Amino acid sequence: MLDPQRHEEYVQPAVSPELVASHGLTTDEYQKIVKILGREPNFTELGVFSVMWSEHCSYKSSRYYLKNLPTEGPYVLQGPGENAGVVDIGGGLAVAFKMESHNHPSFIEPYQGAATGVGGILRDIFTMGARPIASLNSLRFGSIDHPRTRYLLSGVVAGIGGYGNCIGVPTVGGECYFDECYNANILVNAFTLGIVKKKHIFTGIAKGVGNPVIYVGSKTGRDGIHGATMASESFSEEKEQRRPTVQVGDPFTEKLLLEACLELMEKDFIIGIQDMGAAGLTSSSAEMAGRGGCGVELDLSAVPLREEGMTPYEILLSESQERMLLVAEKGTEDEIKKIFD
Amino acid sequence: MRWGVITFPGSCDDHDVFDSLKSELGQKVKFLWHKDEFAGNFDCVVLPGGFSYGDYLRCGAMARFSPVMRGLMKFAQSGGRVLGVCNGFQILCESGLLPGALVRNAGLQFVCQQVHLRVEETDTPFTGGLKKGQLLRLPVKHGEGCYYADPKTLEGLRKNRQILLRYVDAKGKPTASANPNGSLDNIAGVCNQARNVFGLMPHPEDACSQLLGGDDGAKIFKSIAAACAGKARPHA
Repeated sequence: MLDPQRHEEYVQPAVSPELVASHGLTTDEYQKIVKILGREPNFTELGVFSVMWSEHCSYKSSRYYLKNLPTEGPYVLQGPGENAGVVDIGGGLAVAFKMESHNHPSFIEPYQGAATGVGGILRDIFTMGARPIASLNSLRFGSIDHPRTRYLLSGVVAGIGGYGNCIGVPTVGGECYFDECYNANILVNAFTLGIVKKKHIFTGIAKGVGNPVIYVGSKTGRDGIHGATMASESFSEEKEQRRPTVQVGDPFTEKLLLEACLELMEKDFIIGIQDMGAAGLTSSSAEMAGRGGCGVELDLSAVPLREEGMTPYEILLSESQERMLLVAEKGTEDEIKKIFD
Repeated sequence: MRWGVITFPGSCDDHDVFDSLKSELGQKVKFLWHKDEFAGNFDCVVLPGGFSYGDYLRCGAMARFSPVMRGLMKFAQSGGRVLGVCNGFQILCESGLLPGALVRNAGLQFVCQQVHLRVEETDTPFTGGLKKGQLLRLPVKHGEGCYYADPKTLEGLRKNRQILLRYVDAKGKPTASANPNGSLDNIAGVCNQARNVFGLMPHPEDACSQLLGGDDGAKIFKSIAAACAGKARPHA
Protein backbone atom coordinates (compact mmCIF):
# COMPACT_ATOMS: atom_id res chain seq x y z
CA MET A 1 0.00 0.00 0.00
CA LEU A 2 1.21 3.50 -0.79
CA ASP A 3 1.79 5.46 2.33
CA PRO A 4 0.49 9.01 2.08
CA GLN A 5 3.94 10.45 2.59
CA ARG A 6 5.40 8.69 -0.39
CA HIS A 7 2.28 9.56 -2.29
CA GLU A 8 3.08 13.22 -1.70
CA GLU A 9 6.60 12.70 -2.90
CA TYR A 10 5.54 11.08 -6.16
CA VAL A 11 6.29 13.50 -8.95
CA GLN A 12 4.61 12.84 -12.27
CA PRO A 13 6.86 12.88 -15.32
CA ALA A 14 6.39 15.93 -17.54
CA VAL A 15 4.21 15.40 -20.58
CA SER A 16 6.31 15.74 -23.72
CA PRO A 17 5.43 15.10 -27.39
CA GLU A 18 7.53 11.92 -27.19
CA LEU A 19 5.54 10.71 -24.18
CA VAL A 20 2.30 11.41 -26.03
CA ALA A 21 3.53 9.44 -29.03
CA SER A 22 4.65 6.54 -26.84
CA HIS A 23 1.08 6.36 -25.51
CA GLY A 24 -0.17 5.71 -29.03
CA LEU A 25 -2.06 9.00 -29.27
CA THR A 26 -1.95 11.12 -32.42
CA THR A 27 -1.39 14.87 -32.36
CA ASP A 28 -5.04 15.41 -33.24
CA GLU A 29 -6.15 13.22 -30.39
CA TYR A 30 -3.86 15.04 -28.00
CA GLN A 31 -5.29 18.40 -29.07
CA LYS A 32 -8.75 17.04 -28.37
CA ILE A 33 -7.70 16.07 -24.83
CA VAL A 34 -6.37 19.57 -24.21
CA LYS A 35 -9.64 21.01 -25.50
CA ILE A 36 -11.77 18.76 -23.27
CA LEU A 37 -9.72 19.47 -20.16
CA GLY A 38 -9.08 23.11 -20.94
CA ARG A 39 -5.42 22.49 -20.07
CA GLU A 40 -2.54 20.11 -20.65
CA PRO A 41 -3.15 16.68 -19.11
CA ASN A 42 -0.77 15.38 -16.50
CA PHE A 43 1.01 12.03 -16.86
CA THR A 44 -1.73 9.98 -15.16
CA GLU A 45 -4.49 11.64 -17.16
CA LEU A 46 -2.53 11.01 -20.34
CA GLY A 47 -2.40 7.31 -19.44
CA VAL A 48 -6.14 7.25 -18.78
CA PHE A 49 -6.98 8.88 -22.12
CA SER A 50 -4.57 6.63 -23.95
CA VAL A 51 -6.23 3.42 -22.77
CA MET A 52 -9.79 4.69 -23.03
CA TRP A 53 -9.22 5.89 -26.59
CA SER A 54 -7.36 2.77 -27.66
CA GLU A 55 -9.07 0.66 -30.28
CA HIS A 56 -9.45 -2.06 -27.65
CA CYS A 57 -11.69 0.08 -25.45
CA SER A 58 -13.31 2.49 -27.87
CA TYR A 59 -13.70 0.45 -31.07
CA LYS A 60 -12.82 3.63 -32.90
CA SER A 61 -12.10 1.93 -36.23
CA SER A 62 -14.31 -1.16 -35.96
CA ARG A 63 -17.38 0.76 -34.81
CA TYR A 64 -18.25 1.45 -38.42
CA TYR A 65 -18.47 -2.26 -39.21
CA LEU A 66 -20.09 -3.26 -35.93
CA LYS A 67 -22.96 -0.90 -36.77
CA ASN A 68 -23.97 -3.26 -39.56
CA LEU A 69 -24.87 -6.04 -37.16
CA PRO A 70 -28.51 -6.47 -36.10
CA THR A 71 -29.02 -5.50 -32.46
CA GLU A 72 -32.76 -5.13 -32.04
CA GLY A 73 -35.68 -7.49 -31.89
CA PRO A 74 -38.70 -8.43 -29.81
CA TYR A 75 -36.67 -10.87 -27.68
CA VAL A 76 -33.64 -8.63 -27.14
CA LEU A 77 -33.61 -7.50 -23.53
CA GLN A 78 -30.17 -5.93 -23.69
CA GLY A 79 -28.38 -4.78 -26.82
CA PRO A 80 -24.86 -3.34 -27.15
CA GLY A 81 -23.48 -0.99 -24.52
CA GLU A 82 -23.49 -3.30 -21.51
CA ASN A 83 -21.17 -6.07 -20.39
CA ALA A 84 -23.12 -8.64 -22.41
CA GLY A 85 -26.21 -8.97 -24.54
CA VAL A 86 -29.33 -10.59 -23.11
CA VAL A 87 -32.05 -12.43 -25.02
CA ASP A 88 -35.39 -13.60 -23.63
CA ILE A 89 -35.86 -17.37 -23.91
CA GLY A 90 -39.30 -17.51 -22.27
CA GLY A 91 -40.44 -19.01 -19.00
CA GLY A 92 -39.08 -16.04 -17.09
CA LEU A 93 -35.56 -16.88 -18.17
CA ALA A 94 -33.03 -15.21 -20.41
CA VAL A 95 -29.58 -15.97 -21.76
CA ALA A 96 -26.68 -13.54 -21.52
CA PHE A 97 -23.87 -14.05 -24.00
CA LYS A 98 -20.91 -12.30 -25.48
CA MET A 99 -17.92 -12.97 -27.67
CA GLU A 100 -14.59 -11.28 -27.17
CA SER A 101 -11.20 -11.43 -28.81
CA HIS A 102 -7.90 -11.87 -27.04
CA ASN A 103 -5.70 -11.94 -30.12
CA HIS A 104 -2.60 -10.01 -29.19
CA PRO A 105 -2.07 -11.39 -25.68
CA SER A 106 -2.50 -14.91 -27.07
CA PHE A 107 0.11 -14.31 -29.75
CA ILE A 108 2.61 -13.11 -27.16
CA GLU A 109 1.89 -15.72 -24.45
CA PRO A 110 -0.62 -18.28 -25.79
CA TYR A 111 -1.59 -20.08 -22.58
CA GLN A 112 -2.14 -17.04 -20.33
CA GLY A 113 -3.39 -14.89 -23.20
CA ALA A 114 -6.14 -17.34 -24.10
CA ALA A 115 -6.91 -18.23 -20.46
CA THR A 116 -7.43 -14.62 -19.43
CA GLY A 117 -9.56 -14.14 -22.54
CA VAL A 118 -11.91 -16.81 -21.20
CA GLY A 119 -11.68 -15.28 -17.72
CA GLY A 120 -12.71 -11.89 -19.04
CA ILE A 121 -15.65 -13.20 -21.00
CA LEU A 122 -16.85 -15.26 -18.02
CA ARG A 123 -16.80 -12.16 -15.82
CA ASP A 124 -18.77 -10.23 -18.42
CA ILE A 125 -21.46 -12.89 -18.19
CA PHE A 126 -21.79 -13.23 -14.43
CA THR A 127 -21.64 -9.46 -14.10
CA MET A 128 -25.07 -9.51 -15.70
CA GLY A 129 -26.33 -11.81 -12.96
CA ALA A 130 -26.14 -14.90 -15.16
CA ARG A 131 -24.54 -18.22 -14.24
CA PRO A 132 -22.16 -19.19 -17.07
CA ILE A 133 -23.00 -22.63 -18.44
CA ALA A 134 -21.11 -23.03 -21.71
CA SER A 135 -18.24 -21.59 -23.73
CA LEU A 136 -17.33 -21.66 -27.40
CA ASN A 137 -14.34 -20.44 -29.32
CA SER A 138 -13.45 -19.34 -32.82
CA LEU A 139 -9.77 -19.59 -33.66
CA ARG A 140 -7.57 -18.60 -36.61
CA PHE A 141 -3.96 -19.69 -36.76
CA GLY A 142 -1.20 -19.27 -39.30
CA SER A 143 -0.18 -21.89 -41.81
CA ILE A 144 0.09 -25.41 -40.36
CA ASP A 145 3.80 -25.66 -41.36
CA HIS A 146 4.67 -22.30 -39.84
CA PRO A 147 7.16 -22.96 -37.01
CA ARG A 148 5.16 -20.97 -34.44
CA THR A 149 1.74 -22.42 -35.21
CA ARG A 150 2.13 -25.65 -33.24
CA TYR A 151 3.30 -23.74 -30.15
CA LEU A 152 0.48 -21.22 -30.39
CA LEU A 153 -2.19 -23.83 -31.07
CA SER A 154 -1.30 -26.07 -28.13
CA GLY A 155 -0.94 -23.11 -25.76
CA VAL A 156 -4.20 -21.47 -26.77
CA VAL A 157 -6.21 -24.70 -26.64
CA ALA A 158 -4.78 -25.60 -23.22
CA GLY A 159 -5.39 -22.07 -21.92
CA ILE A 160 -9.02 -21.96 -23.00
CA GLY A 161 -9.82 -25.47 -21.73
CA GLY A 162 -7.82 -25.14 -18.52
CA TYR A 163 -9.41 -21.93 -17.35
CA GLY A 164 -12.94 -23.03 -18.21
CA ASN A 165 -12.53 -26.42 -16.54
CA CYS A 166 -11.37 -24.91 -13.26
CA ILE A 167 -14.50 -22.77 -13.13
CA GLY A 168 -16.68 -25.72 -14.08
CA VAL A 169 -17.81 -24.22 -17.39
CA PRO A 170 -17.34 -26.61 -20.31
CA THR A 171 -16.08 -25.56 -23.71
CA VAL A 172 -18.80 -27.19 -25.78
CA GLY A 173 -17.62 -26.41 -29.28
CA GLY A 174 -15.63 -24.20 -31.56
CA GLU A 175 -14.14 -23.71 -34.97
CA CYS A 176 -10.56 -23.47 -36.08
CA TYR A 177 -8.93 -22.50 -39.38
CA PHE A 178 -5.32 -22.30 -40.51
CA ASP A 179 -4.08 -19.88 -43.13
CA GLU A 180 -0.80 -18.12 -43.74
CA CYS A 181 -2.52 -14.73 -43.56
CA TYR A 182 -2.73 -15.30 -39.79
CA ASN A 183 0.97 -16.14 -39.39
CA ALA A 184 1.73 -12.87 -37.62
CA ASN A 185 -1.66 -12.13 -36.14
CA ILE A 186 -3.72 -15.01 -34.82
CA LEU A 187 -7.36 -14.57 -33.87
CA VAL A 188 -8.57 -15.94 -30.55
CA ASN A 189 -12.26 -15.39 -29.88
CA ALA A 190 -13.97 -16.73 -26.79
CA PHE A 191 -17.72 -16.89 -26.28
CA THR A 192 -19.62 -17.63 -23.10
CA LEU A 193 -23.31 -18.07 -22.47
CA GLY A 194 -25.03 -17.82 -19.11
CA ILE A 195 -28.55 -18.27 -17.88
CA VAL A 196 -30.33 -15.63 -15.82
CA LYS A 197 -33.78 -14.97 -14.39
CA LYS A 198 -35.35 -12.13 -16.35
CA LYS A 199 -36.10 -10.20 -13.18
CA HIS A 200 -32.55 -10.59 -11.98
CA ILE A 201 -30.51 -8.93 -14.71
CA PHE A 202 -27.77 -6.59 -13.49
CA THR A 203 -26.05 -3.78 -15.38
CA GLY A 204 -22.90 -1.76 -15.05
CA ILE A 205 -24.27 1.56 -13.90
CA ALA A 206 -23.10 3.99 -11.24
CA LYS A 207 -25.78 6.25 -9.77
CA GLY A 208 -27.07 7.69 -6.54
CA VAL A 209 -24.87 10.39 -5.05
CA GLY A 210 -23.19 9.17 -1.86
CA ASN A 211 -23.43 5.44 -2.66
CA PRO A 212 -20.22 3.50 -2.05
CA VAL A 213 -18.01 2.28 -4.91
CA ILE A 214 -16.59 -1.08 -3.84
CA TYR A 215 -13.66 -3.00 -5.27
CA VAL A 216 -13.81 -6.83 -4.95
CA GLY A 217 -11.59 -9.70 -6.08
CA SER A 218 -7.84 -10.05 -6.53
CA LYS A 219 -5.29 -7.46 -5.53
CA THR A 220 -3.91 -5.03 -8.07
CA GLY A 221 -0.42 -5.65 -9.41
CA ARG A 222 1.69 -4.24 -12.20
CA ASP A 223 0.54 -6.80 -14.75
CA GLY A 224 -1.10 -5.79 -17.95
CA ILE A 225 -0.38 -2.07 -17.72
CA HIS A 226 -1.20 -0.69 -21.14
CA GLY A 227 -2.40 -4.09 -22.27
CA ALA A 228 -5.31 -2.40 -24.03
CA THR A 229 -3.01 -0.02 -25.86
CA MET A 230 -0.68 -2.85 -26.81
CA ALA A 231 -3.60 -4.89 -28.09
CA SER A 232 -4.56 -2.05 -30.37
CA GLU A 233 -1.22 -1.73 -32.09
CA SER A 234 0.04 -3.75 -35.00
CA PHE A 235 2.74 -6.29 -34.41
CA SER A 236 6.45 -5.98 -34.94
CA GLU A 237 9.44 -8.05 -33.82
CA GLU A 238 9.83 -6.20 -30.54
CA LYS A 239 6.32 -7.18 -29.40
CA GLU A 240 7.83 -10.46 -28.27
CA GLN A 241 9.35 -8.42 -25.47
CA ARG A 242 5.92 -7.22 -24.46
CA ARG A 243 5.20 -10.35 -22.49
CA PRO A 244 4.85 -8.39 -19.22
CA THR A 245 1.83 -6.58 -20.66
CA VAL A 246 -0.01 -9.93 -20.74
CA GLN A 247 -2.00 -10.67 -17.60
CA VAL A 248 -1.81 -13.93 -15.68
CA GLY A 249 -5.04 -15.73 -14.84
CA ASP A 250 -6.10 -17.31 -11.57
CA PRO A 251 -9.23 -19.38 -12.28
CA PHE A 252 -9.62 -20.36 -8.63
CA THR A 253 -10.05 -16.73 -7.57
CA GLU A 254 -12.43 -16.27 -10.47
CA LYS A 255 -14.52 -19.21 -9.30
CA LEU A 256 -14.73 -17.70 -5.80
CA LEU A 257 -15.57 -14.31 -7.31
CA LEU A 258 -18.29 -15.90 -9.45
CA GLU A 259 -19.93 -17.68 -6.51
CA ALA A 260 -19.65 -14.62 -4.25
CA CYS A 261 -21.12 -12.29 -6.89
CA LEU A 262 -24.04 -14.60 -7.60
CA GLU A 263 -24.67 -14.94 -3.86
CA LEU A 264 -24.57 -11.17 -3.46
CA MET A 265 -26.95 -10.71 -6.36
CA GLU A 266 -29.59 -12.72 -4.53
CA LYS A 267 -29.82 -9.73 -2.19
CA ASP A 268 -30.89 -6.21 -3.08
CA PHE A 269 -27.60 -4.48 -2.38
CA ILE A 270 -26.20 -3.84 -5.84
CA ILE A 271 -26.97 -0.85 -8.01
CA GLY A 272 -24.41 -1.57 -10.67
CA ILE A 273 -21.56 -4.02 -11.19
CA GLN A 274 -18.83 -4.25 -13.78
CA ASP A 275 -15.80 -6.35 -14.54
CA MET A 276 -12.39 -4.67 -14.48
CA GLY A 277 -11.23 -5.83 -17.87
CA ALA A 278 -9.15 -3.93 -20.38
CA ALA A 279 -7.85 -0.69 -18.82
CA GLY A 280 -8.91 -2.01 -15.41
CA LEU A 281 -10.11 0.46 -12.85
CA THR A 282 -10.08 3.30 -15.38
CA SER A 283 -12.50 1.86 -17.89
CA SER A 284 -14.76 0.13 -15.38
CA SER A 285 -15.29 3.25 -13.29
CA ALA A 286 -15.53 5.61 -16.28
CA GLU A 287 -17.98 3.37 -18.12
CA MET A 288 -20.17 2.87 -15.05
CA ALA A 289 -20.22 6.60 -14.35
CA GLY A 290 -20.91 7.33 -18.01
CA ARG A 291 -23.98 5.11 -18.03
CA GLY A 292 -25.30 6.70 -14.84
CA GLY A 293 -24.57 10.23 -16.00
CA CYS A 294 -22.65 11.01 -12.86
CA GLY A 295 -19.11 11.25 -11.56
CA VAL A 296 -17.20 8.71 -9.49
CA GLU A 297 -14.65 9.47 -6.83
CA LEU A 298 -11.92 6.88 -6.38
CA ASP A 299 -9.63 6.67 -3.37
CA LEU A 300 -6.65 4.96 -4.96
CA SER A 301 -4.90 4.59 -1.63
CA ALA A 302 -7.70 2.19 -0.61
CA VAL A 303 -7.06 -0.12 -3.57
CA PRO A 304 -5.56 -3.41 -2.33
CA LEU A 305 -2.11 -3.73 -3.91
CA ARG A 306 -0.02 -6.79 -4.63
CA GLU A 307 3.22 -4.83 -4.93
CA GLU A 308 4.74 -1.97 -3.03
CA GLY A 309 5.26 1.52 -4.32
CA MET A 310 2.73 1.46 -7.14
CA THR A 311 1.98 4.87 -8.61
CA PRO A 312 -1.54 6.20 -9.25
CA TYR A 313 -0.79 5.79 -12.96
CA GLU A 314 -0.06 2.09 -12.45
CA ILE A 315 -3.06 1.49 -10.18
CA LEU A 316 -5.45 3.08 -12.65
CA LEU A 317 -4.05 1.25 -15.66
CA SER A 318 -3.29 -2.18 -14.19
CA GLU A 319 -5.11 -5.04 -15.89
CA SER A 320 -4.73 -7.52 -13.06
CA GLN A 321 -7.35 -10.21 -13.51
CA GLU A 322 -10.30 -11.36 -11.41
CA ARG A 323 -11.41 -7.95 -10.16
CA MET A 324 -14.84 -6.32 -10.11
CA LEU A 325 -16.16 -2.89 -9.33
CA LEU A 326 -19.57 -2.44 -7.83
CA VAL A 327 -21.78 0.38 -6.69
CA ALA A 328 -23.98 -0.58 -3.76
CA GLU A 329 -26.78 0.82 -1.68
CA LYS A 330 -25.48 2.95 1.15
CA GLY A 331 -25.31 1.01 4.41
CA THR A 332 -24.87 -2.46 2.90
CA GLU A 333 -21.04 -2.35 2.90
CA ASP A 334 -20.57 -4.63 5.90
CA GLU A 335 -22.89 -7.33 4.60
CA ILE A 336 -21.17 -7.24 1.23
CA LYS A 337 -17.81 -7.54 2.90
CA LYS A 338 -19.05 -10.59 4.79
CA ILE A 339 -19.99 -12.40 1.58
CA PHE A 340 -16.62 -11.69 -0.05
CA ASP A 341 -14.60 -12.63 3.02
CA MET B 1 -32.42 -41.08 3.45
CA ARG B 2 -30.38 -37.92 4.06
CA TRP B 3 -27.54 -36.93 1.75
CA GLY B 4 -24.88 -34.32 2.36
CA VAL B 5 -22.85 -32.67 -0.42
CA ILE B 6 -19.68 -30.85 0.61
CA THR B 7 -18.86 -27.58 -1.15
CA PHE B 8 -15.17 -26.70 -1.08
CA PRO B 9 -14.02 -23.42 -2.60
CA GLY B 10 -13.47 -24.45 -6.22
CA SER B 11 -15.95 -27.35 -6.20
CA CYS B 12 -17.66 -27.41 -9.59
CA ASP B 13 -19.96 -30.43 -9.49
CA ASP B 14 -21.61 -29.83 -6.11
CA HIS B 15 -24.75 -28.48 -7.79
CA ASP B 16 -24.78 -31.37 -10.29
CA VAL B 17 -24.77 -33.90 -7.44
CA PHE B 18 -27.36 -31.92 -5.51
CA ASP B 19 -29.73 -31.57 -8.48
CA SER B 20 -29.38 -35.18 -9.61
CA LEU B 21 -30.14 -36.48 -6.13
CA LYS B 22 -32.99 -34.07 -5.53
CA SER B 23 -34.68 -33.72 -8.91
CA GLU B 24 -33.91 -37.04 -10.57
CA LEU B 25 -33.96 -39.31 -7.54
CA GLY B 26 -36.25 -37.42 -5.16
CA GLN B 27 -33.75 -37.58 -2.29
CA LYS B 28 -33.28 -35.23 0.66
CA VAL B 29 -30.01 -33.34 0.15
CA LYS B 30 -28.15 -30.68 2.08
CA PHE B 31 -25.06 -28.68 1.21
CA LEU B 32 -22.18 -28.71 3.70
CA TRP B 33 -19.86 -25.71 3.70
CA HIS B 34 -16.10 -26.37 3.91
CA LYS B 35 -15.57 -23.80 6.68
CA ASP B 36 -18.21 -25.27 8.98
CA GLU B 37 -17.64 -28.12 11.36
CA PHE B 38 -19.19 -31.34 10.08
CA ALA B 39 -22.56 -31.58 11.75
CA GLY B 40 -25.79 -33.32 10.96
CA ASN B 41 -27.29 -36.71 10.69
CA PHE B 42 -26.43 -38.06 7.23
CA ASP B 43 -26.74 -41.47 5.65
CA CYS B 44 -24.23 -40.67 2.94
CA VAL B 45 -21.94 -37.73 2.25
CA VAL B 46 -20.67 -36.91 -1.24
CA LEU B 47 -17.39 -35.13 -2.02
CA PRO B 48 -17.97 -33.66 -5.48
CA GLY B 49 -15.65 -32.97 -8.42
CA GLY B 50 -13.95 -29.69 -9.13
CA PHE B 51 -10.71 -27.98 -8.24
CA SER B 52 -10.81 -27.62 -4.47
CA TYR B 53 -8.76 -24.61 -3.35
CA GLY B 54 -7.63 -24.29 -6.98
CA ASP B 55 -5.63 -27.52 -6.74
CA TYR B 56 -2.49 -25.51 -7.39
CA LEU B 57 -0.75 -27.93 -5.09
CA ARG B 58 -1.33 -31.68 -5.52
CA CYS B 59 -5.03 -32.32 -6.20
CA GLY B 60 -6.97 -32.57 -2.97
CA ALA B 61 -3.89 -31.85 -0.82
CA MET B 62 -5.35 -28.63 0.55
CA ALA B 63 -8.96 -29.77 0.88
CA ARG B 64 -8.09 -32.57 3.30
CA PHE B 65 -7.12 -29.91 5.86
CA SER B 66 -10.37 -27.94 5.64
CA PRO B 67 -12.47 -27.71 8.84
CA VAL B 68 -15.30 -29.89 7.53
CA MET B 69 -12.89 -32.79 6.91
CA ARG B 70 -12.12 -33.31 10.60
CA GLY B 71 -15.70 -34.35 11.31
CA LEU B 72 -15.98 -36.22 8.03
CA MET B 73 -12.99 -38.37 8.94
CA LYS B 74 -14.68 -39.35 12.19
CA PHE B 75 -17.95 -39.97 10.34
CA ALA B 76 -16.16 -42.29 7.90
CA GLN B 77 -14.16 -44.06 10.56
CA SER B 78 -17.32 -44.81 12.50
CA GLY B 79 -18.92 -46.43 9.47
CA GLY B 80 -20.61 -43.46 7.78
CA ARG B 81 -20.92 -43.84 4.01
CA VAL B 82 -18.76 -41.49 1.96
CA LEU B 83 -18.71 -41.21 -1.82
CA GLY B 84 -15.91 -39.26 -3.54
CA VAL B 85 -16.23 -38.40 -7.22
CA CYS B 86 -13.26 -37.16 -9.26
CA ASN B 87 -11.74 -34.40 -7.10
CA GLY B 88 -13.63 -35.99 -4.21
CA PHE B 89 -11.79 -39.28 -4.93
CA GLN B 90 -8.49 -37.36 -4.94
CA ILE B 91 -9.35 -35.76 -1.58
CA LEU B 92 -10.23 -39.16 -0.07
CA CYS B 93 -6.85 -40.56 -1.21
CA GLU B 94 -5.01 -37.52 0.13
CA SER B 95 -6.76 -37.79 3.48
CA GLY B 96 -5.89 -41.47 3.78
CA LEU B 97 -9.49 -42.66 3.82
CA LEU B 98 -8.74 -44.55 0.61
CA PRO B 99 -5.49 -46.24 -0.43
CA GLY B 100 -3.40 -45.16 -3.42
CA ALA B 101 -3.10 -41.88 -5.29
CA LEU B 102 -4.33 -40.20 -8.46
CA VAL B 103 -1.60 -38.82 -10.67
CA ARG B 104 -1.38 -37.03 -14.02
CA ASN B 105 -3.09 -38.89 -16.87
CA ALA B 106 -0.65 -41.10 -18.78
CA GLY B 107 -1.42 -39.18 -21.99
CA LEU B 108 -0.67 -35.86 -20.22
CA GLN B 109 -3.93 -34.49 -21.62
CA PHE B 110 -7.22 -33.66 -19.96
CA VAL B 111 -9.74 -36.34 -20.95
CA CYS B 112 -13.44 -35.70 -21.44
CA GLN B 113 -15.33 -38.70 -22.79
CA GLN B 114 -17.82 -41.47 -22.11
CA VAL B 115 -16.28 -44.66 -20.72
CA HIS B 116 -17.48 -48.21 -20.12
CA LEU B 117 -17.06 -49.57 -16.63
CA ARG B 118 -17.35 -53.11 -15.34
CA VAL B 119 -18.79 -53.73 -11.89
CA GLU B 120 -16.26 -55.94 -10.08
CA GLU B 121 -17.75 -56.34 -6.61
CA THR B 122 -21.31 -56.01 -5.35
CA ASP B 123 -21.02 -56.55 -1.61
CA THR B 124 -20.82 -52.81 -0.85
CA PRO B 125 -23.54 -50.21 -0.30
CA PHE B 126 -22.41 -48.46 -3.49
CA THR B 127 -22.71 -51.41 -5.84
CA GLY B 128 -25.21 -53.58 -3.99
CA GLY B 129 -27.97 -52.93 -6.51
CA LEU B 130 -25.75 -53.89 -9.45
CA LYS B 131 -24.68 -57.25 -10.85
CA LYS B 132 -21.13 -58.51 -10.92
CA GLY B 133 -19.77 -58.01 -14.44
CA GLN B 134 -22.50 -55.50 -15.31
CA LEU B 135 -21.40 -52.71 -17.67
CA LEU B 136 -22.05 -49.04 -16.90
CA ARG B 137 -21.56 -46.08 -19.20
CA LEU B 138 -20.45 -42.88 -17.44
CA PRO B 139 -18.57 -39.71 -18.41
CA VAL B 140 -15.04 -38.92 -17.22
CA LYS B 141 -13.50 -35.43 -17.22
CA HIS B 142 -10.15 -35.04 -15.54
CA GLY B 143 -6.47 -34.29 -16.00
CA GLU B 144 -5.21 -36.25 -13.01
CA GLY B 145 -7.14 -39.49 -12.80
CA CYS B 146 -4.44 -42.09 -13.28
CA TYR B 147 -4.82 -44.41 -10.29
CA TYR B 148 -1.54 -45.49 -8.75
CA ALA B 149 -0.65 -47.67 -5.76
CA ASP B 150 2.52 -49.48 -4.80
CA PRO B 151 2.59 -53.24 -5.55
CA LYS B 152 1.88 -54.22 -1.94
CA THR B 153 -1.15 -51.92 -1.68
CA LEU B 154 -2.39 -53.13 -5.05
CA GLU B 155 -2.08 -56.74 -3.91
CA GLY B 156 -4.09 -55.86 -0.80
CA LEU B 157 -6.78 -54.20 -2.91
CA ARG B 158 -7.14 -57.33 -5.02
CA LYS B 159 -7.10 -59.67 -2.05
CA ASN B 160 -9.71 -57.70 -0.13
CA ARG B 161 -11.77 -57.17 -3.31
CA GLN B 162 -11.66 -53.37 -2.93
CA ILE B 163 -11.56 -52.66 -6.67
CA LEU B 164 -15.21 -51.93 -7.44
CA LEU B 165 -15.02 -50.56 -10.98
CA ARG B 166 -12.63 -51.08 -13.91
CA TYR B 167 -12.39 -49.29 -17.25
CA VAL B 168 -13.35 -51.77 -19.99
CA ASP B 169 -14.24 -51.74 -23.68
CA ALA B 170 -17.79 -52.11 -24.98
CA LYS B 171 -17.45 -55.89 -24.69
CA GLY B 172 -16.39 -55.70 -21.06
CA LYS B 173 -12.66 -56.39 -21.57
CA PRO B 174 -10.19 -54.31 -19.53
CA THR B 175 -7.96 -53.40 -22.48
CA ALA B 176 -5.28 -50.70 -22.59
CA SER B 177 -7.25 -48.70 -25.15
CA ALA B 178 -10.32 -48.70 -22.89
CA ASN B 179 -8.23 -47.11 -20.14
CA PRO B 180 -8.60 -43.32 -20.52
CA ASN B 181 -5.84 -42.25 -18.14
CA GLY B 182 -3.36 -45.10 -17.71
CA SER B 183 -4.70 -46.21 -14.33
CA LEU B 184 -2.98 -49.31 -12.90
CA ASP B 185 -4.97 -52.45 -13.60
CA ASN B 186 -7.65 -50.28 -15.31
CA ILE B 187 -8.89 -49.21 -11.87
CA ALA B 188 -11.72 -46.64 -12.01
CA GLY B 189 -12.95 -46.86 -8.43
CA VAL B 190 -11.91 -48.39 -5.12
CA CYS B 191 -13.38 -48.70 -1.64
CA ASN B 192 -11.74 -48.94 1.77
CA GLN B 193 -11.39 -52.20 3.69
CA ALA B 194 -14.51 -51.50 5.73
CA ARG B 195 -16.38 -50.95 2.43
CA ASN B 196 -18.11 -47.74 3.57
CA VAL B 197 -15.91 -45.25 1.65
CA PHE B 198 -15.88 -45.32 -2.16
CA GLY B 199 -14.00 -43.14 -4.61
CA LEU B 200 -14.30 -43.14 -8.41
CA MET B 201 -13.09 -40.92 -11.24
CA PRO B 202 -16.20 -41.20 -13.51
CA HIS B 203 -19.18 -38.97 -12.73
CA PRO B 204 -22.40 -40.81 -11.79
CA GLU B 205 -24.14 -37.46 -11.11
CA ASP B 206 -23.78 -36.53 -14.77
CA ALA B 207 -25.58 -39.68 -15.88
CA CYS B 208 -28.85 -39.69 -13.97
CA SER B 209 -31.23 -38.82 -16.77
CA GLN B 210 -31.91 -40.22 -20.25
CA LEU B 211 -32.21 -36.61 -21.35
CA LEU B 212 -28.51 -36.19 -20.60
CA GLY B 213 -27.54 -39.34 -22.46
CA GLY B 214 -27.91 -42.06 -19.87
CA ASP B 215 -28.95 -42.96 -16.35
CA ASP B 216 -26.36 -45.54 -15.35
CA GLY B 217 -25.09 -43.12 -12.70
CA ALA B 218 -28.47 -43.22 -10.97
CA LYS B 219 -27.95 -46.97 -10.43
CA ILE B 220 -25.06 -46.22 -8.07
CA PHE B 221 -27.06 -43.64 -6.10
CA LYS B 222 -30.04 -46.02 -5.95
CA SER B 223 -27.78 -48.77 -4.60
CA ILE B 224 -26.66 -46.48 -1.80
CA ALA B 225 -30.23 -45.43 -1.03
CA ALA B 226 -31.36 -49.06 -0.92
CA ALA B 227 -28.48 -50.02 1.37
CA CYS B 228 -29.27 -47.15 3.72
CA ALA B 229 -32.98 -47.97 3.74
CA GLY B 230 -32.09 -51.55 4.67
CA LYS B 231 -29.96 -50.45 7.54
CA ALA B 232 -32.47 -47.90 8.78
CA ARG B 233 -35.11 -50.60 9.21
CA PRO B 234 -33.29 -53.53 10.75
CA HIS B 235 -36.36 -54.77 12.59
CA ALA B 236 -38.88 -54.29 9.81
